[in-house]
Amino acid sequence: MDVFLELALILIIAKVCGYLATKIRMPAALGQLVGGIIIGPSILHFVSYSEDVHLISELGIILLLFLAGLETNIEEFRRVGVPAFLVAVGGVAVPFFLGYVSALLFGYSKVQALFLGGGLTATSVGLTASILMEMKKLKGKEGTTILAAAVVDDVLGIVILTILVALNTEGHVYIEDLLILLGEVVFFFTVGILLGTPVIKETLKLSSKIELPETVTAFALSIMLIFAYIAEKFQIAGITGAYLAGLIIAQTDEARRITTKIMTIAYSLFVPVFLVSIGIKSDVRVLLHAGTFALLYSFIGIFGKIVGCGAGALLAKFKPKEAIRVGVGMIPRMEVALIIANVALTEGVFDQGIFSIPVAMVIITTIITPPLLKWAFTGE
Amino acid sequence: METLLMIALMLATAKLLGWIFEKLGQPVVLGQILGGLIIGVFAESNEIIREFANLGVLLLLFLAGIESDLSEFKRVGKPSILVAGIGVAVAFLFGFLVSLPFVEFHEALLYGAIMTPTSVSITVRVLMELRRLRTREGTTILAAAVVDDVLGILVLTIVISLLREGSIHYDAVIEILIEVAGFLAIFLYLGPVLAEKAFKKISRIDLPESTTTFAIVFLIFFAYLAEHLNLASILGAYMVGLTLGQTSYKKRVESPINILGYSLFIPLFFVEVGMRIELGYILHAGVFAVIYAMAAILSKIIGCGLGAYLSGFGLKPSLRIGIGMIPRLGVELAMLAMAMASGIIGADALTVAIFMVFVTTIITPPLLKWIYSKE
Repeated sequence: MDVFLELALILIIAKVCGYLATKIRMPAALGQLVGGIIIGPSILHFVSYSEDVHLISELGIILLLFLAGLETNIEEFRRVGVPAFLVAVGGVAVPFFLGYVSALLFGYSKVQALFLGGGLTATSVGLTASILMEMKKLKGKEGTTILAAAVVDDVLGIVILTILVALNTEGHVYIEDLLILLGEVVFFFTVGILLGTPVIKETLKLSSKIELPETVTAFALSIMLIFAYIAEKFQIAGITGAYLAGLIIAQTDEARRITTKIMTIAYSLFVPVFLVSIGIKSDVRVLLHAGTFALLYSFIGIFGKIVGCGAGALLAKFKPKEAIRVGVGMIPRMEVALIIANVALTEGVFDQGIFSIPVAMVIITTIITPPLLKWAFTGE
Repeated sequence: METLLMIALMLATAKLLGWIFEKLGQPVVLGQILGGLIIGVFAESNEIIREFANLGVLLLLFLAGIESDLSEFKRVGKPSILVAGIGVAVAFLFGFLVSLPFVEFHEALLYGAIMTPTSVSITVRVLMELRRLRTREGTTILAAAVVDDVLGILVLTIVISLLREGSIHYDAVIEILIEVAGFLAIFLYLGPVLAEKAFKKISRIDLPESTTTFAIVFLIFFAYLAEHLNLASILGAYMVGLTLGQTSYKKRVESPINILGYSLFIPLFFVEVGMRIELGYILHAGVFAVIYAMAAILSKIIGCGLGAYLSGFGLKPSLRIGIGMIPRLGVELAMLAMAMASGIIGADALTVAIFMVFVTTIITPPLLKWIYSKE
């Protein structure tokens, strides 16, 4: 029962802090992050962040990306294919390079510098998606580009992680391994789209014949969960799988009905928990003794994405303002950065001191994104 | 991550088997339990899924509460109160007495309590088919079901609380009765007014689904409070639903919670119940299970029939009403799950009770059709 009580507290924080944030004209997500930090271990230590809350938060981000997929304008999505690719590549290359070089300059070893650079590459699009959805900008050109770029970015992130681990343990990278990895990723997307589309269509058609309450919604949820699960099996992020499922369902007749129902489910329970959970998991005490390099590193994290992604967008003939919006949207880092840091820690590349650097960067990029996005997207 | 796949599988099973049972003219819930039984052969549920299922129970009772109209209570005439009241009393007595030779005293109390509430959804469907719902008998059954729900929840709450106290003596009984009465009084008198005020404030938060979120918060909070007072959490959930149903926010809360409940948590709950059944136990407790199910059927026919007869129905109409009140479903299972969650009963009691649920719901439609064919 205590688990539920914790859940109730998180929900209250989500709605009240979210509301307060909107009163000072900030995205609700910012209030929810801050609320999470306050009740989390860094300050009040009210919540223990149990398994159940973790699963609800996990489902929150999955639902968020599923919704993002459902809301995506397919025409727009096709149009932004090339720009999104350029944005993703720019957004990976520039932060990696800057992070690597500056780490070397600060006296870190070559391997450590590689891991630090790698930690800056992968964007975590959940936060941006929630804020853009709140501002009703997700369907636009920039929003669609960000989502599509995040998919590419996710794949690049796995490649980088694989390379880093191989370099560290074996000293070199086997090209075959990379090809197999890429082959698997391609396999996932091709089969997911070619086989997934008809299967999903038929499943939904069948489910709409079942006259039990909320059957179509339940089946849409099942499809989303299965896609997320399979994606994870292919080492792709679960959210990318959920996004793909959303994109496919968006093209069926049931899309509109499903979207409103999923909205209700997501926003009444799961998404608020996800956003507060980010705050709970951010132990801001890390910032106190992370040192100067952590600050520089975080700055590179922010600056690198704006420059790298922005340059990619400019190359694709986006206007400067649009390019900045895309760059800002790609700033937040989360899971992958932490995974890379964790791998480095367990492999003995990082000690606790260095480990806190990417952790600090994750917190800083997360907190700075909501106001920056608000600023970038206001005023046409 | 395996949990995600498990949830997907449970959801799809719930809807598919529920549908098949619906087509066969059987209650959806039975299909879902059966689905759970099948999944249970291959896979085990885990702690997290169980918590999700528990949330499903709370949502189920919340919805039961929000759907029941308090003004209907006032309109319910003497016949329905007699039918429900005597039905509950006789069922409790029967359940208790037939269990006594097989289990210990305190467990027998629980077996008695489990037998009390009726779930008339299947009866309603059969009567609709027979075009007999809009008769005096039909409306009496419907109204009695409303009273019966509340009485059942109260009986079970009291028994669970007693068992929690450990020893059963008069002080404890009186203490619990006072607590329950206090809980009810506060909710019924102050609840709607306070809830109206609270939700007026809350609805100023213009984030998506804020009222729904706070309905969940209140639900959790009062379920916890009830649990903390050593009452059953289901009473808290039911009362929050009932209270919100009296406010002007009823519509705004009811449909989102319906979506949240029926697309995810409630089907998960019924499938999860099925996964917990231990089939081996049915064979083991064979005689007891059969006697218990028989007692469940007879007690309602006798108890509710007697209530109807006392309130002026003829012999045959009384029998019809009694038969209509036989089936046990939804709320009972929710109670069982809660009793299990608080460690009062084990998988054996669950299995016996579910056997009773299956028998009573499956036997009711043919019995009803038979008695109505004898006009």
